[in-house]
Parts: sequence; C-alpha cells; structure tokens
Amino acid sequence: VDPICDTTQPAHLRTRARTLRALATQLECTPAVALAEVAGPDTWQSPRVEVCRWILGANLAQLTRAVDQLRWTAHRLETRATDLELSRARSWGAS
Amino acid sequence: VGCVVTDHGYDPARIVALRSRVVESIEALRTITCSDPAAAPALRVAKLMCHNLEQSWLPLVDAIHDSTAMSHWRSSADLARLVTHFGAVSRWIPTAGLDHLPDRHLAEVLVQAAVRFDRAVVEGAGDLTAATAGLRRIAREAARRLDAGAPGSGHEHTFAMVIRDQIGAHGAEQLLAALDSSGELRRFGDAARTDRSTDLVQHAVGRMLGRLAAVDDEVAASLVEHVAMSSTLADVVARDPLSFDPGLLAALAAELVAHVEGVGRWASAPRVIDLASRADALLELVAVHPREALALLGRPDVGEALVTSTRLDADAVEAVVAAGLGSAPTSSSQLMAAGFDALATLVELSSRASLGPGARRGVALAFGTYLPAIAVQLDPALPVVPVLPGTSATTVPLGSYAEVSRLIGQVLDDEPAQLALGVVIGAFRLDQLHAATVAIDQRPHHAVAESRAMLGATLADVGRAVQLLHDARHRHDRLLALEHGMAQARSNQLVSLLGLGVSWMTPAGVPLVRQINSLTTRGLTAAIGTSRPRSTPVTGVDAELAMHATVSAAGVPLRSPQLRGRLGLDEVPDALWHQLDELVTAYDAAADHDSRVACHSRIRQVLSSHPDLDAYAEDTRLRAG
Repeated sequence: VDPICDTTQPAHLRTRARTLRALATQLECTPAVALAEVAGPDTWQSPRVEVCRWILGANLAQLTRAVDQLRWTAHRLETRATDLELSRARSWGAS
Repeated sequence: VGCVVTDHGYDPARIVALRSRVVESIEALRTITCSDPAAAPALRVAKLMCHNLEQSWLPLVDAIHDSTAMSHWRSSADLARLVTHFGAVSRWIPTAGLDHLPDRHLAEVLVQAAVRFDRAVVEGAGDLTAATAGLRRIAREAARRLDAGAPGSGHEHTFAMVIRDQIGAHGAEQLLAALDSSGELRRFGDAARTDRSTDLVQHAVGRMLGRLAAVDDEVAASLVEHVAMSSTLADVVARDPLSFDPGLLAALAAELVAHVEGVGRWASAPRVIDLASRADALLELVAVHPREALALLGRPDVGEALVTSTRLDADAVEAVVAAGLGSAPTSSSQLMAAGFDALATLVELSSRASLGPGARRGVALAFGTYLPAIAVQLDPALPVVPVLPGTSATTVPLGSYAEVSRLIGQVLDDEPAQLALGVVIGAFRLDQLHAATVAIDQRPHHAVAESRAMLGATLADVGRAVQLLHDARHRHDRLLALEHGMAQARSNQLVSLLGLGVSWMTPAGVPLVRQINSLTTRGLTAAIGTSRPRSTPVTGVDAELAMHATVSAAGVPLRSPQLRGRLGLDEVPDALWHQLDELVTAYDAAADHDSRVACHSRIRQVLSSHPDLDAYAEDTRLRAG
C-alpha cells in the first residue's frame, strides 16, 4: 500500500486531497510566479540580473513540477477513497 | 515604457515596482504552510524559492533601490504620480553592470582594483589587460554613481563621502598611484592596445579624486602636494576641469607656478621637469573663475612669480590677471577692495621688478575697472586714492602718482597692452559722456553754466586719465598703439568688439570700460591692431586728446538735441548742426591720423562760425582742463 494513502478512512483521504489541491493552487498563484513579468530587460539589465533570472527560472520549473505532483497525489488519494467506498458498499451489499 | 535597451542599466520607476513585488513574493512564500506529509517536497521548493529571492533578488534590488542615482531620481520624481501613472516619469539609467555592489563595497573593490592595476604596471604582476579592464569597469561604475546627483541636488557628494569614509586618504593615494601608472602605461606601453583603456581609467579615476577632494581637505591637500610630481594628474585635471572644485584648481595651478618659478617650497628643491605647459593649462582654467583668479594673484610668492614670469605663457597669465583684477570686481562689487589691494601690490612691485608681458596685458584690460574711481582725483602732487561712490569703506592709496605711472609705463612698453589701454581710455570717454548727458538731462533746473560745468568735469576726468598715461611714457612717439586704440574705441566699433567677446560673467548695465576685461589683447589686436599706422608721424597724445575733447564736446548737443537749450545752444541754426553731424561722423569713420586731423580742423571752423557754439567749445575746453 502507498504510504501516502495509508489510511482506511475515505473521508480523511478526500480531506487530504482537498488540502493538497488548495496548496497547489496557492503555489500557482503566489506573486513570485509573476515576478518574471515585471523583471524583464526593460526593467533592468546586468550580468547579476541574468543570474537572478536564471535562478528564478529554475525555481519556477521546480515549482511547476511540485504543483503537478501535488495534484497527482490528490488524484491518487481521491481514487483510493473512491476504491475504499466502493469496496465497503460491495461488502455491505453482500452481507 | 518601451525603452530601447542597448546596455546595462535599469528603469528606476520599474525598479520601485519590482522591489515591492519581490517583498510581496517573499512574504507570500513565507506564509505557505501545510501539515500533510505529501506536501513536503512542494514546501521545500517554496522555501528554496523564498531563500533565493531573499539572498539573490532582494539584495540586488535593494542595492539599486538605495543607490544615489535612485535617491536623486526619487527626490526629483513625484512618487504619487509615479504610482498612479506607472512609467510616466520613467527613464533608463545606464550602469556598468555592478549594481549588486553596495556603495561601500564598491569603494573597497575600487581601491583593490587600483592596487592590482598599479602592481600590474609597475611590477608586471598579473594580467595587465585584465587589471586594466577591471579597474576601468569599476571606476566607470563609481563615476556613474558620482554623476547620479546633479549639482545642487544635495546628492552630488553622497557617494564621494561614502568612499572617503570607506577608503580614507590612503585609498585616495592609491588611486593617485594608479593614475600615475596609467600615465606611464600611456607613455611607454603598447599605444594601440592601451590608449583608449587608459583614457577611460584616467577619466574615471580623475573624476573620483576630484569629488573626493571636494569632501575631504586631506585628499585636496594630497593632490596639491603631488601635482608637481605626478606625471598625469595635471593633464587629467586639464581634460576634466568640471570634476574639480575651482578653489582646488587654483591651488593646483599655484603649486605648478611655484614649481616653474622656483618659489615657495620649490625655492630650494631640485626641479628637473619643465611644468610650464601644465601650469599654463591650469591657469587658463582658473581664469574662468574670477574670484579664484583674484585670490591666486593675492597669494604670497606665487602671485608675484606669476606676474613677473617670462616662462609661463603670456596669454594664460593675461587671462588670469584680467579675470582677477577686472572680472572679479565687475561680477561682485564686494571684491572691489580686494581688487584695489591686488592693484596696489602690482604698483609696489613695478618699482622693483619688471612685469611679464601677460601681466602687462592683463592690467591693461582690467584697468578700466579702476579708472572711474581714480580718475576723479588724479594729481601728480598727491597719492592716488580711489574714490568709490556710494561706499563708506576706507580705501588705501594705490601709491604715489609717480608709482602708479611707473606701473602704467611698464604696461605701455608692451604694444598689445598699449592698444588695450587705448581702447580702455576710449571706452572711458564714451561712458563719461553718456553719464554727463544723462545727468544734464535729469537736471532741468540747472543753469547753462552748471550744465556746461558738469560736462566739462566729465571731460576733465578723461583728460586726467590720459595725462597719467602721458606722464607714464617719456617717449611719446612710441604711443602709436595707444592713440590707435583710443581712436578705434568709437561707440559703434567698441560695442561690436564687446559684443563679440563680452563675458557671461559681466552683469547687465556695466559701463563699457569695465567690460573690456572680458576681451583678450590677442583678440583686440586681431580686430583693430592690424590697421594701426606704423610710420605715421604723430603729434603726441596731447594733440590727440585735444581733438577728442573738441569732438566729444560737440557730440553731446549734436546727438542729444534736447540738451541744446540746457547748454545755451538753442540759437544755433539747424544747417550748422547738419554740417557738424557730417563732420563728426566722418571723424569717427576716419581710418588714419591725418584724416582725423583734417576733420577736426573743419569741425573747429564750424564751431567758430557761430558765437554760441564758439563760446560753448571754449568753455568746455577750459573746464575740461
């Protein structure tokens, strides 16, 4: 069993999924993501600025991957919750 | 804003906005939390991003935001307007790409680069090309920050003071050493490779030293002490004088003059190199600052060495003497007493030393500044004491009449100076006649005799001034240039001469005679000197003066018809005035002495043809002495 889904409570899993999706949205909307738009070559230009831009670009790429990962994890939690709910429904029907 | 970005730099309005976005981003990232273990990798990324913004972005933005260029920009921009109309007051501030270095750090790096450059040149240590490029880049950035504040903004010295606090006088000496090394490199290095680089290094380092000296007396004293020994400093100052305080320029020039003439601390010190040309260059710069020029003339040893020098360029000395003696009191009446002191020193000096040609010409150009104050009481039996109308200040005598005429005699020995003095006398005559015309016009209650006395008194002042020149020169047949100058200084000619050369420093409404100090004897000689007759026999200054007095006296009622009644000439018929008008015009236009004599004879005939005119001419002649 996947450790991040190591729970038998679908409601808890769905709560975690919502939390992770909210975090992904928060990260996507953080002002740092739009920083590059106001820090272009018409704002400033120098060798050190190029270094800063490169660092920001790398961080944004990491952030995008992290956001994707959060949503993928949330999806898996929700899938796991659905599976648990179906499994429980089947077991109730059989009894 | 749509700036065309061609080089390193920044847009200050956008930097203000960027800084607030960076701060906002950092605060937003700090608030992101999540207790879910699955969020840990994303939180690490957010934390890393926050760290990078704090450690890389914010210091760089802050360094630019807190720079003197931005401080100056903020003080001149309306921030409220900036916020509401972003970019409305925007502009591109170019940089050397070293924005991340705060001012203090830049100062340290500058000195390190200067030391590295110096060692590369002197000891051959390290890569000279890299050291030159490094120093040039850092010095350019430093110079840019120095220039960030416009003069008078209150920011112009901010960066210089930071540097002074950071590197002290020792750092300034290292900059000076780098400057000398750049000079050596320029002289002995690979010219094709080093010329432009060393030029840029010298320009930036020189500017830095000038600004440092402005905020630190110790640095200024160090520059003065080194200027005669430095291979480069004087040249750098001459190339970029605006970076140096006028007082420092004068001090540097004084030190070089002392070296050239062997006075002051150079009286007994060995001198190998001739620094005359460097001294000349700085003297020309000092002449642009009349107050400093006057102070330079008053310096013990140096002032005397300057005016008696035959090694220094005559034009440079003339410019300093004319500026100090003439332009300084003309631009500020408070300097009149100091000007008289300097003139009195020259009077005393002329009795024991020979003035150089430049000093003689400078005195000639500036003499008109003092003439109105001394002509009133010139008497061979009395000391020459200036009379300054409207002031209660006690003035010291310039010297005895004989001593003053000895100075004037030396001036008259120099032909360009003689020509200038003639122009000064001519201008003085025009000023006096104008003043008399106005005075008579403003006093309708005066009787004819009083009006004539007033006119006669003004002509007498001119007569005494000419007599002083006459007494100063025993060989009157050698006063051709003086007479020529007097004759050429007719109204139209003089106004056009002054119109060409008059200085912006001369306030409006200054009499013609006090504007001549802004001309040069070289310019005067070029304009009117070439027409001077070289072999025409002259009848002496007396005869020339008599002619001028007659024509001047006739000219007053002729040019100002409203004064004819006041001078007792309302019965003179118009036909005679027409005749006089033609003759006086012909006299003014006469190109040579003989023509003037012929015109004068005919004017005398017309004046004698009417009893009122004849009586007027005789009366003014007698009153004028």
